[in-house]
Amino acid sequence: MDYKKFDEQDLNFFLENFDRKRVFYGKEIREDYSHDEMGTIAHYPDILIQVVSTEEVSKVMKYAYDHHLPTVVRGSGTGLVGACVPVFGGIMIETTLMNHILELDTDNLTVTVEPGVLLMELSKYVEDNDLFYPPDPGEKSATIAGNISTNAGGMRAVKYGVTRDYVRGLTVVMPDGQVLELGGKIVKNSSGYGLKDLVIGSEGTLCVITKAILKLVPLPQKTISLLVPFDSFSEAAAVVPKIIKAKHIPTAMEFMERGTILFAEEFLGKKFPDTNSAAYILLTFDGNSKEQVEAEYDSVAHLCLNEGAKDVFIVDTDERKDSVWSARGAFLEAIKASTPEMDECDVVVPRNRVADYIDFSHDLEKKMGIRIPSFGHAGDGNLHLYICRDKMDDVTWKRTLKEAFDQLYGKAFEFDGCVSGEHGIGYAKRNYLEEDYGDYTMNLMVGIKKAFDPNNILNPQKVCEC
Amino acid sequence: MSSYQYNQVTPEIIEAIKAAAPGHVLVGDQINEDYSHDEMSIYGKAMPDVLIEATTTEEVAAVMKICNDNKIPVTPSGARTALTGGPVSLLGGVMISTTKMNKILGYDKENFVVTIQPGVLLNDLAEDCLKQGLMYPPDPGEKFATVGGNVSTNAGGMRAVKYGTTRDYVRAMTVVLPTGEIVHEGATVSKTSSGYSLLNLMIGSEGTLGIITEMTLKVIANPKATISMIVPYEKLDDAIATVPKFFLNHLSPQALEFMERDVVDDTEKFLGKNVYPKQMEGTEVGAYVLATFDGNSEDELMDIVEKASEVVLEAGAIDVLVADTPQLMRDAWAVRSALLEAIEANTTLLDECDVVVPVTKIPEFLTYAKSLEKEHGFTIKSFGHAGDGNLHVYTCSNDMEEAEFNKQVEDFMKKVYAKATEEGGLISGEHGIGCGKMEYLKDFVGPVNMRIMKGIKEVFDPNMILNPGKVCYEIQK
Ligand SMILES: Cc1cc2nc3c(=O)[nH]c(=O)nc-3n(C[C@H](O)[C@H](O)[C@H](O)COP(=O)(O)OP(=O)(O)OC[C@H]3O[C@@H](n4cnc5c(N)ncnc54)[C@H](O)[C@@H]3O)c2cc1C
Ligand SMILES: Cc1cc2nc3c(=O)[nH]c(=O)nc-3n(C[C@H](O)[C@H](O)[C@H](O)COP(=O)(O)OP(=O)(O)OC[C@H]3O[C@@H](n4cnc5c(N)ncnc54)[C@H](O)[C@@H]3O)c2cc1C
Repeated sequence: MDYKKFDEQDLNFFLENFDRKRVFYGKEIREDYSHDEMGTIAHYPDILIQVVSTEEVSKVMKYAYDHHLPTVVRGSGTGLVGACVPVFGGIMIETTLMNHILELDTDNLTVTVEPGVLLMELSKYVEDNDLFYPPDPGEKSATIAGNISTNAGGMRAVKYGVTRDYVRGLTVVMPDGQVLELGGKIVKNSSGYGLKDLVIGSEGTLCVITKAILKLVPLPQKTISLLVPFDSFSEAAAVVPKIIKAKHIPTAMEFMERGTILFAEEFLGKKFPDTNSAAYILLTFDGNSKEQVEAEYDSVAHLCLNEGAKDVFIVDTDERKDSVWSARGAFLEAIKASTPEMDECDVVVPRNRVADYIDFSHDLEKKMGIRIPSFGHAGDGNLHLYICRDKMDDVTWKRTLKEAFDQLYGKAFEFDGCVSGEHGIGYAKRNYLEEDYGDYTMNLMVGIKKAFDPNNILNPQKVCEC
Repeated sequence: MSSYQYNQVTPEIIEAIKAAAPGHVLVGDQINEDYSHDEMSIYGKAMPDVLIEATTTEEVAAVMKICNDNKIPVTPSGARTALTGGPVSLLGGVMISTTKMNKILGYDKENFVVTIQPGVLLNDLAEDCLKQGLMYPPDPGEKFATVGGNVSTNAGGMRAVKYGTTRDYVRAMTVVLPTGEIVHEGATVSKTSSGYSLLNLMIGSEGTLGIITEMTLKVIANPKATISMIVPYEKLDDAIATVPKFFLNHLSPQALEFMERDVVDDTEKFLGKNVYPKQMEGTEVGAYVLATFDGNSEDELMDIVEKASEVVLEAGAIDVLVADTPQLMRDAWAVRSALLEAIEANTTLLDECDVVVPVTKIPEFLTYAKSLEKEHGFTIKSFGHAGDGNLHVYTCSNDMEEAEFNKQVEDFMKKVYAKATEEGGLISGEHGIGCGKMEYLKDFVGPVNMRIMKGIKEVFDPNMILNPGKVCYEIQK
């Protein structure tokens, strides 16, 4: 890739035009900025700018465009596919200082935010106002624009959908510095191509999000969870489509296996309510009255018991809630702590294929003699499987990882699944995306990328560019 | 302006097309005049030279490929109920109609999806789903549109306030691209972050990026019970001010429409029905809200109705009429569904704007639009989706010259779209851009946005043969 090298003159431009306290270069850039949470690839930017306004972003982009410098946007860096890593160096725009909630509109039920607002700040703010922002990805310290850029999913997708469903409007800076408004504080839109929907999930390759208008819903008054143990994973997973088929829609339907729970217990130093069974599903229900929620979970509890559940634990005390949900929240980190290195597969399959898919992964573990712990969103078919390096040497690890991925993605495609349910493609999953979509579709994506970014300066080598 | 050249259909090309779609090709006089326009003829009429009544994806692909090789313009056509000139073949050429591809291919009840061909009518899909105990939530007014047309315009409808628009129900589709390539976008799965969402790009692209030949749609469990309320107000302002109060009180109506008195009067006359109260407790009714709620039991609904009644009365409604018999509910909605037809029947020259504004801005917008009536010399009728801020404003005249009407309308539209922009709204909530609204879209979104859209169009359609002159790509007149 033929980019201009970042030189003295470029540096001077940024030092002169931006607040020195928000510009970092060379040794001033912390190691964190060279990778994301998964850490499978690493590269430092030449310069890091902590921007505070749309105008600043526009100024950076214009400069980058005029001088042909590669540029990457970064939120909190909690991504898992290397999407925010500046593989060619150059400029990194960090959004975490653009963390203001700009407006809460209780008539139109929207909140307008800057891109760097953290998910946890947003949920707290709206809930304090008796409103609810439903998307609930595991990592609460991710930025909202990071969530939008990866179309983050999370636990409540079964009932409430994913981030895409809550984005009404975006302000974006194009790679040449021009500012565009897409969508607005409105519910419906048939005004030309769905550019807003194209930007959602585009992993910072098409433009930089500098403001978002998000849809809110009234805060459900009552929430309760059920923890349901089963003797085998297959039984647990088989219940899920039956619950849906019986027309119940829990807010969340997560599955977990004993092994993963034990890691989390150890990692957190906290006890899980029960660890006697091989597999569990965790169901959450919400609604506006106690009666409504109870009626719903009561019939689901019976359904589970008829389908082989060993028991049903009601998670209603604060203590139980905390032990269950903090364990669920810690799975990724706990697995990560159990092995020197790992890589992830975030496939999504139709929900009635979840059981078959996990059985397949168990067989693969045995066949290859490796560990593939997993957990996931049973209700929407999105699974997270982690291939653990454990004691493998470099060569074996690389070979094993590739073979395991080939098998896992191959199986997902066979089931009409997709490469990623919520973590995106980034740098790490491009090959599998290509395998799934084929050349023709990949070329369309490259064409779209060119229409937005003719000089290919924004987050090069990601998503569709191999 | 375009630099793309198109060719005329020759007898050789017709022969090739006939070989590709044997028995499904109509030429010249064999084509019915209906194929020259949609429901809003004011945006111009044009006949296609060749009409294909396609029956399979492969047939569509084969015809597309011939047209691409020969640079013949192609226009996709559904039921032709569009309101912005989308399915009109401005340059003649080939039209591919999907109305013969009207099969419901099957349900998958564990994943809650149904797979259909594009020419299935909305009405048929809705009824078939009900038989399965399911609901396909999008509910645009025109029930005899094709679902392929609905997807291509991202049709909205009455239930958008609770259930969202067509976009929210499309999981996957098979598309024939302008080059004749067959691609599949999306999957049965319920979420994905796998590259750019070409599925979402295709939705609402009005037949300019590809021809949809099969779709997998999300369906939901059919709510067990529904009930409607007619709520009369003295003034529109009060009616609209109620809307946010529903949501804040945890009431989630399935539909929430507003109607002004004059439009209701006209429509009742047109239908020969008398459903809506005109005067109550000595007060002359000026506007109505029509709301439908759904739930899992009659009891639940009674609670909802009670709460909703409190909310609207507190917000200044004159009274509340609960449509608790199926007959009354049907009648109340029959009037709502016939508003446009009644306007059409009473008007010789008609144009429309389908803006969407933040809900709270509805009264301000309509007051402004009405205030322009006199200076432009036409009558303005309006109604719309109160719950989602999507308004349909009609300019109607029975005595103007057409040229004068068009000039006045253009001027009027510029002003009201500017007003919508100022209020944070958009040009089209659900009817699309077609050719009728392209000029305004240009003003509205600006050159950068238009350039990106055209850039995307060129990626999908290198010869610009698919539905030229629509949305973002202008042709020389
Ligand atoms: C413990 C853990 C649990 C997780 N659980 C979930 C989960 O349940 N569901 C889920 O979906 N994800 C999950 N993730 C993944 C991650 O949190 C999400 O991908 C998140 O959306 C990333 O946000 P971020 O702010 O960290 O973005 P970053 O990692 O900084 O960036 C991600 C991508 O977004 C782009 N980007 C960031 N900001 C902008 C902007 N303003 N404009 C344009 N592009 C931008 C970047 O260029 C990059 O391509 C989890 C991660 C961890 C570590
Ligand atoms: C009385 C009345 C009420 C209406 N109410 C509503 C309403 O409430 N909400 C609403 O949103 N709309 C409404 N409409 C508008 C209209 O019904 C919708 O736009 C509908 O989606 C058009 O569907 P159709 O099958 O008639 O498509 P057509 O009119 O035939 O085509 C519409 C557009 O879609 C393209 N197209 C059609 N099929 C395909 C395909 N298979 N692949 C690719 N492109 C295709 C065409 O090229 C064209 O650009 C109403 C219209 C009328 C007359």
